[in-house]
Amino acid sequence: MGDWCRVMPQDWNKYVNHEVRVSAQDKQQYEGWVFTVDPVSASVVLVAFQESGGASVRVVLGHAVREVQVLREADGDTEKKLRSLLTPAGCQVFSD
Amino acid sequence: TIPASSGNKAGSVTLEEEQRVRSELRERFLRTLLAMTSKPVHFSLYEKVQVQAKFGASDIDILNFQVSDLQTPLGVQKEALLRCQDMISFSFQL
Amino acid sequence: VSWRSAQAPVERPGERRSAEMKKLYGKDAAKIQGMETAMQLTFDRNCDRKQPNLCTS
Repeated sequence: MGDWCRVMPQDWNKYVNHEVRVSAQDKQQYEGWVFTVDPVSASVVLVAFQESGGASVRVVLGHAVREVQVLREADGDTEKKLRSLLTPAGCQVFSD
Repeated sequence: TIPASSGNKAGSVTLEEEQRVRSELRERFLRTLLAMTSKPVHFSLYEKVQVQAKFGASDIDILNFQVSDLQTPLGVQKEALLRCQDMISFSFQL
Repeated sequence: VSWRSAQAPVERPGERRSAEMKKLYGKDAAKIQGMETAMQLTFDRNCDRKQPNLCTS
């Protein structure tokens, strides 16, 4: 799926915070909540939360993405968890 | 965050909005790479090859990863560069 | 606090790259470029120091 690498940022953004299944080359499939899609490499960052409180992060390279399917819509709680996961605490971003 | 579709005029997205979205996506990705620093990362390469290594850094174009203690089916390599084009995916724990 | 700067020249991203970044990232261009430059410098420094071998599958 070469198309995945050639869409607008808004098209990738539609998947952010949703739970998806990514079908990659070699027929592998990965599931997780989308943290981001890199606009340079089109790579998808998937997060799976664990009961221990940790998380496992899987990045599927953009060139290997065949298909992305939404399994579940974003919810406020997950959105918040995703945002705090990799944002350094105490480093606020002030909007103008 | 405000949904991108709110107050949308005829479905068109302004350049400013596009830049804002691209920035947010890119920043999140760069933070992901930063979070991998010094962590063991598991790589799935083509031809079902699996390797593990300690992540060092990436170049900005996401073409090469600099890693240490690369464990391959053929042995351990102290310092190595992995080409991103050879990878299908990689994973690590937070 | 006193400190000495290293002798190595500070890497200055080219004008063209800055213009390109501005086009892509708008008002966040400086922040993104800063993060990217830091990552690239780490990559370059590690490659200089560790001389890694390119591993191909």
